[in-house]
Amino acid sequence: MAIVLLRTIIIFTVLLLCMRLMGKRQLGELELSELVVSVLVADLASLPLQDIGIPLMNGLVAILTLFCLELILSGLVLRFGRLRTALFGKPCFLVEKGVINQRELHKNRFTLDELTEELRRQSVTDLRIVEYAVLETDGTLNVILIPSARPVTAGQMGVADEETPWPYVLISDGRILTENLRKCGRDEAWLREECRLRGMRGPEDVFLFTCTASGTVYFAAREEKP
Amino acid sequence: MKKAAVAGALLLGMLVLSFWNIRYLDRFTDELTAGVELSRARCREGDLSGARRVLGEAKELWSSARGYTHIFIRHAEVDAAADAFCELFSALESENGEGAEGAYERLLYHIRCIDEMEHVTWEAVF
Repeated sequence: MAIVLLRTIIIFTVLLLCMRLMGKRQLGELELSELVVSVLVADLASLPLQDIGIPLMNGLVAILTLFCLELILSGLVLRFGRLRTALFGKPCFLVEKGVINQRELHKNRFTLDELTEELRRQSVTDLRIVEYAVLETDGTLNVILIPSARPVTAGQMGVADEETPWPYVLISDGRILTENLRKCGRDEAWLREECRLRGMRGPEDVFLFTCTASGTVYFAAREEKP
Repeated sequence: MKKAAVAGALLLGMLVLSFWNIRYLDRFTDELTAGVELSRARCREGDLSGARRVLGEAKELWSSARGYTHIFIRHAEVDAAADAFCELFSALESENGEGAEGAYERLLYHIRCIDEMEHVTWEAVF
């Protein structure tokens, strides 16, 4: 048990350091420690399952240790900003005011092809319209365009921007969601009446029924099962 | 930070538990070894029935810890030790005192392996 625990701590630390050195492009939307845990847990869980000669306790101790390490690390990172920078790095500007920062590109082991591919993915083909391209700590590339190339917003157009009413799901597959009904300011009698008006016997005949606070209803009847 | 503190406490708890496990395993294997050694001494004196009786007690101790051994020790090690017990019993049953000597060695070796398996050493960790 102690050996498993110590080995898990060592592997976690080494993997964390190695992946940190590999650079952000390896991550892909997961934080570094989350990625390390995901990589390890999948394997740890499968070993005692495949080999019944290994006590389940060995797998459980290792998984529990990883879980604790991840929680401790995320807690420490929240408290100590410098630790966060040391472990996860900081966002890097790969493009600034249309100019590629070649040093940062090289430092993050990002090739020019990968950069242009990422930009194309965000419908950007002309580097001159990129104000900033920021490589975030989780490996995603955020692109901010120069003002003249940004899409026009409703505010800029002077269009009155009303609030978007939230449609509450009141019936889901024949089941009344009473909590949503309360939030929407309606009651069950009203709902049953609405169903009846739409030719249904009751909520059990409804597949989906949504309603906004202003009263806009979406309705879909339940189809007969084949 | 609260979650991190709970996780830290849990990790510390596991660490304490694992060291308690080492001590428990030490005591358990020491008792087993003492029983087997005593049985060997009887066998060397030619008291085979006495050797069988003492070994039976050691075997009883081993069997009573079945729940523990199967949860914490690799099953291959547990099976090897159980096989060594059976082998030794059959050697003693056949009144073959000299043949039992090798079986005693094998059983003691397996018990030692189980004991050392949990010892925190550089070799074991790496």
